[in-house]
Amino acid sequence: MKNKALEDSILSIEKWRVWLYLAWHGIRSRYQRTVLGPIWLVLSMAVTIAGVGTVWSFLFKMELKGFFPYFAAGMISWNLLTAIVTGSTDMFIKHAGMIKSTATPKFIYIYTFVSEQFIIFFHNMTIYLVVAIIFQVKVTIYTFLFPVVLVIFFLNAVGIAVLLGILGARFRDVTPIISSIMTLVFFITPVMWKPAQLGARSAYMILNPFYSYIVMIRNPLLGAPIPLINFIIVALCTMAILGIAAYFFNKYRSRIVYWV
Amino acid sequence: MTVINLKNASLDFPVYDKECFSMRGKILSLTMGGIIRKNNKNVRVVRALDNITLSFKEGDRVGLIGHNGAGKTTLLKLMAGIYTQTEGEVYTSCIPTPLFDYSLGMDVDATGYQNIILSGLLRGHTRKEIDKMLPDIIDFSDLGEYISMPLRTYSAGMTTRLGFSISTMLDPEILLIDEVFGAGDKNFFTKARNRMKELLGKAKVLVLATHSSDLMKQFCNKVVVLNKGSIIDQGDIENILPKYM
Repeated sequence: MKNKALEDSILSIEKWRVWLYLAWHGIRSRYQRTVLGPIWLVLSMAVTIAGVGTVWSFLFKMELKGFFPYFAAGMISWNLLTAIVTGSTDMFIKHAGMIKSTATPKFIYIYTFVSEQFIIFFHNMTIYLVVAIIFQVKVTIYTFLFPVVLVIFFLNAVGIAVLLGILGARFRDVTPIISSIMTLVFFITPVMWKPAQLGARSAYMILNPFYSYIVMIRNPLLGAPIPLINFIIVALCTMAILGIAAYFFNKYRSRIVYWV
Repeated sequence: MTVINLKNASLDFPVYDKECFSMRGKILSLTMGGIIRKNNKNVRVVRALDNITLSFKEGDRVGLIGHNGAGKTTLLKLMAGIYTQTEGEVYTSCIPTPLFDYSLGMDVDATGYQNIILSGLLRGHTRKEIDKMLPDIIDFSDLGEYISMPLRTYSAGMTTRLGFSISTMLDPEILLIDEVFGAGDKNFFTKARNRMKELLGKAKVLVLATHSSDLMKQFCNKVVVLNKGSIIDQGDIENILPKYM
């Protein structure tokens, strides 16, 4: 049997004009009739980081120079991660009209969604650049791992979007379930705090795969190395996610149209 | 040359009620086991198309007739590749151009102008090609200044006009039409008919689902009669149409 997932994903890459347009359009339409438009994206993130970052560093009695870049990088990365996980559940549902009336490859919707999240992420990165310059975060050889990490994140995002997109279209309960889980995960993942604060129990952190993902993207931004164990966990998760996603897609692609 | 070929194609629609759509139904069926599980495993289905065998050659202008719910739209959507057959085979020599419900597939928050670009991109055109077609499309749609307004401000007729203008700007090889002449005022109706005639000269195959025998006499040379998802009769228009209309 042919691998429909691969075929569909390649066909969709050829139609990059469509999904890039849809992605831009999706972001713009969210801020329609606002004065600042998509600048709101960056602005609201900047306000959160500035406010929470300052208060938290006082709260934990940590040096601003040490905590602030850590928090900024973590928060922006987390924002990408959570947007991918929670947003993908209603990805197909949002495009129900198009799915029901045109016979385009389904990955167009997936790439639209994923590129939307990455465009937002790159917007937010400007905040981190400013923070990094103010607090003089050092550029090391590990900084150059960042593009590689982005590719890994992209693959994961596509896999997650396929999986949760299909699940979310079939079972409408998935959307609220996932969003309440992600709220919890935010607090048990070291974004606003450091693993060292857990003391001896910080070894258990490794059981939380989101931790590895955050380390993976945050450390290069801070110019720090990625521990091997986190790298291995992310690599294994990526393979599992892509494998299951391909299986799901091959099996349920033709039914998506009935579910949305 | 065969352009569209369906061999013993059947299509089942899964029917999802609240219980089926939610996880509760699935979870309950897991925990309770036994009878309910057995029942839930088979999602209820409606057989929308049953054992359809068709073959259209170049030059065929096919009219689809049948009562409401006979499967006309479903058959068109199957040929268009929107639905996938449950059993059998479906072959089309190239990607068909569907002219269905125009309000679908358009973004209501985007302007008419943006919708034209989006549809063009979806059909595989580049921005340059679209920019070239834009004036013609806008002109044909008669929308005037409304073209730069969001679609949600349009009336049903205006949406139809825009949709029709976009879809017919290209030269489709296979044209699938589902009752397009519903909305739009009289002026546009005449314009649309003329455009249709023009298109028909270029298209290899036309499949038109309609209740109007006038339209069918004007555009079609073959008729396929559907009833409850099966073909009950097909052949040349002179022989078939008088029996059913």
